Amino acid sequence: MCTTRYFQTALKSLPVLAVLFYLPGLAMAQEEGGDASGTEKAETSIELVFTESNNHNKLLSATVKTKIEDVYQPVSGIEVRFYQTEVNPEQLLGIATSNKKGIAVLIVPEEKMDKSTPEYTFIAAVENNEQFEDNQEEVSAAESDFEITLETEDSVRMVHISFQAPDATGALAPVAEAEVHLYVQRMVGLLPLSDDPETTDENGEVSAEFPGDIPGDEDGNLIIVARVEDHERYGNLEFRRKVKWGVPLVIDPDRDRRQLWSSRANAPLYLIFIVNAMLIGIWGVIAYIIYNIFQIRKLGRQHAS
Amino acid sequence: MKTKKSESAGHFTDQSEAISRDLMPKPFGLSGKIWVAVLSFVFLLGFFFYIQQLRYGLGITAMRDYSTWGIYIANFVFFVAISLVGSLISAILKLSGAKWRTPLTRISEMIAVSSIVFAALVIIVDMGRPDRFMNVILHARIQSPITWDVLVITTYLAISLLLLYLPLIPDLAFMRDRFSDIPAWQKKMYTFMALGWKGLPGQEKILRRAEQILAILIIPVAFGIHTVTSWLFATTLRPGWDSSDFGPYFVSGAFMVGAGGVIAAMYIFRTHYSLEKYLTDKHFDYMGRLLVLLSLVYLYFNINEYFVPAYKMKGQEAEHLNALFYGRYAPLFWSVQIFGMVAPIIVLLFRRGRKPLPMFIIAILVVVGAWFKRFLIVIPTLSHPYIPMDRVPESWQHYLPTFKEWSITAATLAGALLIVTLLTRLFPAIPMVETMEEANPEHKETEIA
Repeated sequence: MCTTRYFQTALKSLPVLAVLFYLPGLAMAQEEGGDASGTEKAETSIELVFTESNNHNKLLSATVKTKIEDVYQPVSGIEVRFYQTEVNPEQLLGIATSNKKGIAVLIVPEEKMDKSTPEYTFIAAVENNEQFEDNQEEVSAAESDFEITLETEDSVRMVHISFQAPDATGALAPVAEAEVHLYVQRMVGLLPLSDDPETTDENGEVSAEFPGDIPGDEDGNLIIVARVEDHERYGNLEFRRKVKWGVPLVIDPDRDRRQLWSSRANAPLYLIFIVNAMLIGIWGVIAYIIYNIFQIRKLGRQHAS
Repeated sequence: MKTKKSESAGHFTDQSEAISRDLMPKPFGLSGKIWVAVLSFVFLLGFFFYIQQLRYGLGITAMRDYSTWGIYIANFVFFVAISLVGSLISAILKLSGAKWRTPLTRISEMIAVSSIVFAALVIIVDMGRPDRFMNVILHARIQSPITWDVLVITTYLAISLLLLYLPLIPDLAFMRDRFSDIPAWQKKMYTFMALGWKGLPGQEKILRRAEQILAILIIPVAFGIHTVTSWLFATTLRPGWDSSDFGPYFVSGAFMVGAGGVIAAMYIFRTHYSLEKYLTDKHFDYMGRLLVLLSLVYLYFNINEYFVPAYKMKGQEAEHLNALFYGRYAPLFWSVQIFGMVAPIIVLLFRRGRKPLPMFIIAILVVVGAWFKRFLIVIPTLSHPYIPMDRVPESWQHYLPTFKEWSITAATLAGALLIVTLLTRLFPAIPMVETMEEANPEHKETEIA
């Protein structure tokens, strides 16, 4: 009877528990999903960036944001359509979905590009979305030739940059007074080689001395990166080149030895021994006490029988 | 509840009956029900917010890039500290032959078990991804103090449970045999847990030996659990933590708060269940003397911990100490030092100060002071990193716990008190059979006639 009553009480309390589990989520959902009713679509802002890498890969990156409580927040998971020249199904280059930061990226497929003119217009558009109004943003970029060459002259390592673009006749002409940034690729970012960017001369060229004390990989390899950033006519241009100009990385052989600061696989043997000996010793005694508990029960049963 | 005097062995004396009547677990009265309801409400409120934390992450707390440990970890250290009371009363006093400890052992073990259970739970509460908890064990680095902490907490919990359970067996058998009008499930539970205890000489011998072994075993483990907890801080190069005497500093503080906790519980049980005959002024007097001793030891370590770096005042350490002595944390710091440590020493040095009511007030000051002391150990240090805070949001530079964080923390404290309350509803808070045997040394109350 008593047990039944307990079950009944427990069953009665289930809805309360369910509400307890559900309410926090409900409260937060209401805070976030202001116009879930769908009566009014939210507006978006799109920022479109064009980047060309090593004179070959063309990349379009659209950042989609929306205003929540007067602050622009990234919109994740939204579909962005990329077009060339105009919004038209025939001019569609591809579709990408934004990530957590609201960024949708498309590597422009060469075969779909219209290369009849040396200047391109790309469009990123949010269309027919259930939550957001239609919006589009365009960016223009002209064809260019941006390249770096590396030379060692009298033991001095030099980075030469050449920046050219087709003129009205289609022949390559130098791009003067363009700012070029030089970097070295590191594990989580780019290391600038100078505080200020270099500027191309009337020949569209610029040269810079490369320092000799930058650590590379085990073979001394480095990746040198030259960038033109946010150029009003050519957009973002990047050129990367791998070269053995770094100081070869010497891996400390002590790193793989058994140390306190090593990985778990390389724990010091003395520590493994001490910790395990203590564990076995103490838990051995605990096991003995539990054995004693069974002995007490056994004696009680023997006496009862 | 009634006891079956006639059916039991013939030597069940009137005095024993009176003791069993006084000490047997009783159903909650109105005040008990209100107490349980309040604790349950606080616990459920915190649980409600914890569900939010599970769904939306630690972002609901005030913990950010600098204050990565907040009141959850301060609370964890507090729970570990107060759990040491089990080893103090059940082991250290037992081995030192202090007979007067008998009525305090069960209370202290109940506090120890509930505290250590919640210490372990608080660690999980502090995890951003508790679903990955098993990774701490499956991919443990044996070099990490966090791994040692997981191991030693588990071990201490196992020993504390055994130290609570083993001395309870004669009481369980007594309740099984003599309590007639209890619910069937409770009777079954007592029968199952009593392990067929008949008070046979063989059983007595095994039980006493096991208790003795556990009393010895728990002392190094108790020192270990709080030393390792202190190493979580001391092995980190941070102002305020970079200290070689953090182990004894933590252990001495833990014994002090443990003693404070058991004194507070003694007073509540004494007044609520009218146990003046069992928890006498003498017990309060002895515990008061013990608390003075423990407070003096802790004061000694505090002086070492603050005076030595304050004499040198180097770099970030100086900033940290200035924040404690004169700055943002000064009111809390001096309140804790004065009301939580110096005042108890002064009051308890006088005989009148060691009477139950003043002792209770002092014990509450000690326990509350101890909680905020852990806050002062954990939080100000994190606000003073060696690498200066640069270009970070203003809110990251200070730590002020959110209401949800306080609620979750309060829930763990309420949960621990709830466990103690429910344990005393089912089991005697003062060992019944041991008290009877001490009152009538010639009688064995659960022995078969």
